[in-house]
Amino acid sequence: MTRPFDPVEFLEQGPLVPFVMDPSNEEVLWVGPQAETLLGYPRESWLAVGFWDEVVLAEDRAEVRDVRVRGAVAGSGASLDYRAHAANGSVVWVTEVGRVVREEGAVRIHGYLLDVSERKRREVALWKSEERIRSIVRNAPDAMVVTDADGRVQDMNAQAVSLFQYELSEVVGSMLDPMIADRFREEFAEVRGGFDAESERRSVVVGRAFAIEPRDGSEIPVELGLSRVTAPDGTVQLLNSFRNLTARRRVEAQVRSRERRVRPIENVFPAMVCLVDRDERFRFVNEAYAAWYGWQRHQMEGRLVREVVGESIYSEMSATMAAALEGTPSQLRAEVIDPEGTLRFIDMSFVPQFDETESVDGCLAVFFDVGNEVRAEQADRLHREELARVARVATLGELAASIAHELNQPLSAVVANARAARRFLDAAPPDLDEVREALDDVAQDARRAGDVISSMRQLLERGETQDERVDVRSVVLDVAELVHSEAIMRGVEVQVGDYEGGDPTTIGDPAQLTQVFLNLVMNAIESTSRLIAAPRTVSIQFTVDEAVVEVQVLDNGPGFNRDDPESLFQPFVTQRSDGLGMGLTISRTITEAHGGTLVADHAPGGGALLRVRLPLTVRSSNDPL
Amino acid sequence: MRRFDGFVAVVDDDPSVRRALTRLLRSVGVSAFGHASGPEFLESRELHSVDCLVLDVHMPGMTGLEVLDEVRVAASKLPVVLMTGRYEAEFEDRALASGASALLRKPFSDEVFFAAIAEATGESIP
Repeated sequence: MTRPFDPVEFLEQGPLVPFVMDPSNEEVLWVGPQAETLLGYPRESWLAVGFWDEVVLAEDRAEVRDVRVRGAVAGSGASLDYRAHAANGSVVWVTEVGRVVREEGAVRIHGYLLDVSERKRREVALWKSEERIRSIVRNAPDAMVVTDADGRVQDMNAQAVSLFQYELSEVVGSMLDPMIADRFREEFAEVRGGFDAESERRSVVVGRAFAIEPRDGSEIPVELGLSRVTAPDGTVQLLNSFRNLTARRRVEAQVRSRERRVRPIENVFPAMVCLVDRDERFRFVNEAYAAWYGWQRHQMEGRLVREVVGESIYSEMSATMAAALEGTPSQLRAEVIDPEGTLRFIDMSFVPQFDETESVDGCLAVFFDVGNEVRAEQADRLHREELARVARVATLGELAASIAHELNQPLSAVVANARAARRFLDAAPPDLDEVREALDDVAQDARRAGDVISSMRQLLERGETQDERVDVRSVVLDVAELVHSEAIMRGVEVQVGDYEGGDPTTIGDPAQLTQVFLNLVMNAIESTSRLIAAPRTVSIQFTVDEAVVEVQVLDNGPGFNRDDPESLFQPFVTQRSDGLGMGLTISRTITEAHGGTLVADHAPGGGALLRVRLPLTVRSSNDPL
Repeated sequence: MRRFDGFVAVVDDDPSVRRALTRLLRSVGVSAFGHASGPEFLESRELHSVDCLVLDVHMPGMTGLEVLDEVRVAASKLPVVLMTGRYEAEFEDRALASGASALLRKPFSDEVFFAAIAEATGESIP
């Protein structure tokens, strides 16, 4: 049989601390014996005036007084929580519950106090942990949804609202699972369940690839993060984080496809390939590239280009690479010294790479060592130059008799003038006027002979292609002089037309240009000399238009017996009975190397018309006259 | 041998040669006139008054040999000295066959020149 409840015993010995207070001055009129246990002060000190002012924490005092007074005035009493200083310096949370009692006209509060420090600490911890979670959730860059252990939505951040396309109010209390893409739902539930099963052991899942299904029914690839939070009161919450992988997937696919494309290249060609980012750091280099520098691939990736290739190579390529990093595909051929000190010829191509927003995020660079090609080209050029020279020599050989004649004319005049001058000097009296005239002629004729010799010498010289100012008209006139005798011999009349225009200057090699016109004019003479009767004519005309001079060599011979004039320019094709058949081929090569063109046409009168077009240079004001 | 006292026509398209040879003849007191072409000489009518013709073979238009043929038609006895700057062997035979007294190869000395004229005309120079 249980003992009946004894209120007095309860009051005197129970956990509650009873008190009686005058609300008008907050004086404790009576307090139970447990008061000492509550705060550690002796019972008597509670009755002192101003006890509450000392004991209640300063921040809480105003509210405490306020609540008490209102309660007393309302007649209902009050309950309130506040902090108090214990005698040992600690702070105790106190709950006060009071009721209003009237005795003999005075208003009194009869109530009790209870130490609720423990509860309060738990509450604050809980509040703090909830606040922390709330803060994490609010500020996370990813979409976050807070659920309970079963997966019911409790909270979500703005990013989650935007990702899932639901407001919190629409989904709070519902399961998160329907918002996971169908085929992942089961796995998702498993992962979540795994927390319960393994409790503390697995509290975080990071980096699983999932997909979610937002309101519009589409599917978004996400990376899932799951972490478990246990509140102080034991409740378990799950923080579900979702990172949108759409952009990353696209970039990864791009990089993969780029690297897929690049890798086979590196295995097939001996090219050096690399990917460089916007900051001019290597993002990827292939074996060949690393090997060239004698580095390991991983040593190069991540480093600045400038650091790896060195100042001198960097200075060759930096402008071109910079252009590519601005978005323009660029290339150049550079001469560089490799790490062993050998001179190399490198063809460099830079191709800008674009990200999904169409801005440049780097460039692909491909380098070919073209030393062999360069050497082959040089050898080729030397061959061509030699061939051209051989052709010149051959032409000069054909013209030997004519040239000899051209020299004989002035020479015989010199001999005759010299002898005449001598006789005039010996005459009595000497005829000095005649002597003077004779000597003037000697000088002029000797110069004429010298000119012919130097034209020849120029044609015969073995030398590098020159790059100088050449007077086109003067070249044509020299050629006319060289062939003069030949033309006469064959009964051919060579006419050179007037030049109406500015400065007939082009840039090039005078010997080679002379060779071209010599070839064309000789062909014309050859051709027209086959006519049985006069007139046999070769006409050379100039037309100038803008910055181009056209020289037309026209003959009235039988023309060329081909339908396609172009076929004349094939090597070893000749209509001449002598010669190598290389003349027109070489002439065209030379003309084109000078930036010009050479074409053949049937002339209106039945003969041949060869047209040479050459670019004229404009004399700049800085040129010395 | 009687001294040459007539005048010589020099026909050569090359002006230097023309001037030089006429000067050379003047220097030994012989009158000489130059012509730039065969037609010019033929039209000048000197054909009938000249005492010796010095004629270049290689000329544009009418060649020396053609001029010679014309001359032979008009004045078969006119002494003619041909000259050439080219060395093809074939000319010599043709030249002599057409009635020229000599074929001089340029460049030639004044002695050779005078000797050829002397030979052609039968009179000495200087």
